[in-house]
Amino acid sequence: MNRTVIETQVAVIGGGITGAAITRELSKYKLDVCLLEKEGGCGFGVTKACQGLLHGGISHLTSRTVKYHQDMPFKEYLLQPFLLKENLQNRGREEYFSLAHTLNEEIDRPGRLILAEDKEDMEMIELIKDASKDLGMRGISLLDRKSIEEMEPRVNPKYIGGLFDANEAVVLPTAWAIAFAENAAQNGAHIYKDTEVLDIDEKKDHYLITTNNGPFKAEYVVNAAGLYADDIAKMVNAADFEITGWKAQQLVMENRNYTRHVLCGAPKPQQGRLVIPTTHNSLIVAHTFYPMTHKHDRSTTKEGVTELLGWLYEFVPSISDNHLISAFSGFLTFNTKNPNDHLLESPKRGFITAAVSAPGLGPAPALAREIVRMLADQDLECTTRSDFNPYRNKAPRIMDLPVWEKNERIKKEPKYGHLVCRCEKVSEQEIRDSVRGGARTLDEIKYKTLAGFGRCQGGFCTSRVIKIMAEELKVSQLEITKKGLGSHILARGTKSFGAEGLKEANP
Amino acid sequence: MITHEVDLAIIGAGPAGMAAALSAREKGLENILLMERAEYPGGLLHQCIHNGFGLHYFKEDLTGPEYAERFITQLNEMDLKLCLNTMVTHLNPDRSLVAINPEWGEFEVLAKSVVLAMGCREKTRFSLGIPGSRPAGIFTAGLAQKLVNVDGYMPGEAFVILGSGDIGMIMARRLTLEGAKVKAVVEAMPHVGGLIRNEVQCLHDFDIPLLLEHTVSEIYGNDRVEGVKIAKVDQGGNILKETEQDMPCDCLLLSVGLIPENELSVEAAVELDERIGGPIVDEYLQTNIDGIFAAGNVLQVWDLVDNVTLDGEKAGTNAARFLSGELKKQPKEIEVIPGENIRTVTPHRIVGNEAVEFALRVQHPIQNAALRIGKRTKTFRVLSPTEMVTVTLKPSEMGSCWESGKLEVACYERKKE
Repeated sequence: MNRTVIETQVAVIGGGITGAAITRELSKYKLDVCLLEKEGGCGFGVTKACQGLLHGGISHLTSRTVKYHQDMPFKEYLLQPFLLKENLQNRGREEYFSLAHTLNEEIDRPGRLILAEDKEDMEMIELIKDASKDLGMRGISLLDRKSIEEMEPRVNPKYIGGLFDANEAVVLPTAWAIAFAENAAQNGAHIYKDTEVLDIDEKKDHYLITTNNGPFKAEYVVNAAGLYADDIAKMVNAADFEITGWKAQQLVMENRNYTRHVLCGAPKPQQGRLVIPTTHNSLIVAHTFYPMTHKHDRSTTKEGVTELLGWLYEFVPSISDNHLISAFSGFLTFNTKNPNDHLLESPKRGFITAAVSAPGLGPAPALAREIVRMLADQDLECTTRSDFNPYRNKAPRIMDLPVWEKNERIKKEPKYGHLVCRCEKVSEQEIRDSVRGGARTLDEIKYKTLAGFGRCQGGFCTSRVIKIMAEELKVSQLEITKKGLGSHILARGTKSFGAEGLKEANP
Repeated sequence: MITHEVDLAIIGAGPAGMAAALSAREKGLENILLMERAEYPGGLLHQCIHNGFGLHYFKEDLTGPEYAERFITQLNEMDLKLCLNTMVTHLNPDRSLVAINPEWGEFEVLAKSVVLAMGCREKTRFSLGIPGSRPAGIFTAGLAQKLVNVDGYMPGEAFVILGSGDIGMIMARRLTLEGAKVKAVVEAMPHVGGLIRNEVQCLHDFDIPLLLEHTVSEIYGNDRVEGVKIAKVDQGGNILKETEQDMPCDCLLLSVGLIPENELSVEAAVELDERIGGPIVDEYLQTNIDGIFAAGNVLQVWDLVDNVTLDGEKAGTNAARFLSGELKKQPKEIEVIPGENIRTVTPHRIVGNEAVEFALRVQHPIQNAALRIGKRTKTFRVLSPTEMVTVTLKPSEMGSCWESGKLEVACYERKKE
């Protein structure tokens, strides 16, 4: 592409939850920041297919339990100090709650219910409960059969007891990545979507970044490329690690009062069996543990879907597979250099690697601050901006408002009263607001407004949404894509409308 | 919040809702509110620009828009309250409902009777669990039909169509006429899912390959569909992996069935027939909730719009009769039981002393069929699950069923005499 080099102080590579949170954190300072995202929207990679959990403290102990090798007494093993990953997770999770208010994004705290099938499970759970007390965790309680029944009447009666962690929270991850990026943009950061980094040239006092969207010159580079962080590191000869992991297939079901809490079994190796009530009336059933064969392979398999449905019936026997909405695959990634923790390091001056190990969602806001600290340590002058605006411009969902407020808004703008998505009840004006807020692809609209998320999977709203988007962007409907470059939705106009479609027919 | 008190609220102004409104008005109901979420009345008829509509009802061969137009004209003449761009968001067992539109904002309707006429929606790839990636270029056939026929856009150039429902076969022809290549219509069953006349007129006449006992075993492509894998299936529906073949295409259409849209019904505590997905009704099309009726595809997915119209008329008329106290119920009721070879049958129960029209589908194709409804037997040369059968029984033909409280419907192959 022929354009002059864009110069910036900090280039963040990757607009997943981590990169987007870092960019927003940087936008608090008097800095020039560019976010380079190869997909058509932020949070479209690993973030999009993650389960959306912000783990409570108990998950540190359950994942420790799974990795226990009997090389020291179990309790002593559990009581080891928190890793960087665990610390950032605890801090980050709580930060999401205050951010929910300023970024105007949804968050729920359903809590996690760990279910015990037998005495052995129960003994293990009791040990974990003791350890949690010694580690100073709060909101953790042991449950007997009766309390489980009261909390979740539809859960399989075979579970004899369990452990409840009230801290576990849930968000829609891509919506949050978009929220971070949009608020960063409001505060002066530049978001470049559909911009894939092809090469990085290390110069004396800067880095020259080649992308499919033209060159960038940056004094500092933050590598938050997630799954591709190793490929980016290779470009500056700093790849002493690889990103690998598990392919995690997941299902989305309608949540017809099946469960209000996150459900999982007692900790066992390679069993990511979770049922997660999302923030918008669906359930995620997670997740299979298949080795990751290829970074591009996001496919689902019949075996995977069958396996997941099987677990689901085990937790909630009365569920009907008629309520299956969707299936998708994500990745649980880790770096090979420090597989149990995040890899935050600066292999070169001015180049910071932020290679997170799963889970990366919860820590993001806390990790972002850590990265800014690392940049400041390398003489990046971070002066706070007095005009930083933490509040993201986002109109609320019309259907979430009380009646009087709904009707006041509709009176001023009748398009708020025109619902175009029947399943999630999204109005025409919300689609327009989203485009004005920066959404350019159908999937961004989906994550920002929930239009197309529901049981009909866009069967009703897709044609309406692309029409509204084209109107707002003043382009032909043919130019609207699902998720960025190469994912156009329409091929051409019909014979009667001509090659350019409706726009040509009705100029 | 505005509150409207009405005699009859109709949810959906497709063919069922329009017919219900007109027939209720004919029965003398004045205060009727017809609500439609789309920009125009007529439902999906507008995108069905092919002919074949009205052969039974009007004894004429009409296109979808022409068929809709006849009812829309009558609605206009009758000065009915028709609310467009109006989404009903809640329905309660006391027949009150909440809706929203640009003109009134969120408003409440207190209805003395309700006709559910929400129609149906298309199954998605995930209700089938087709594995693979999630690129752009996967559409339900009905969405593609709207894009092509109403909006004027082609969703692709090279198509594979999974499922041989009527919309799928009609779209195969439509896309071919638009200059696209339809590589195959793929159907897991040993016969097409839609009407035979569509198989002949839409596929055979246009040399579009029909692959029976095949399915799409995988979708591939990262940004846009690049192709699908097609494989044979055995009788149990299992994919025979060794028969898998590659079929490059940029678009996959799904015509794999329709689901009655009953989220509102469930909220109003209307009981559903799990097999059909529609409300359990008596012969008046009344649900278990007094004064709530169901008509058309929300009740069961019909093959022909003509039947949907008749259903709507019946529900509208009976809603009016309900309000004037004419719907007489017997002290006992008859339970209708789907017996051998019967997939679905409506009504589910008989409560009055009037003629009853049964609508049913058989389980699998039967030659020389004998259909037995209670004491009555009717013979057919062939009965197929792809075509709905309707049979009317006079009150005298149900006499003995009142004693047992049961009426069985069954279908057999006739023995050679």
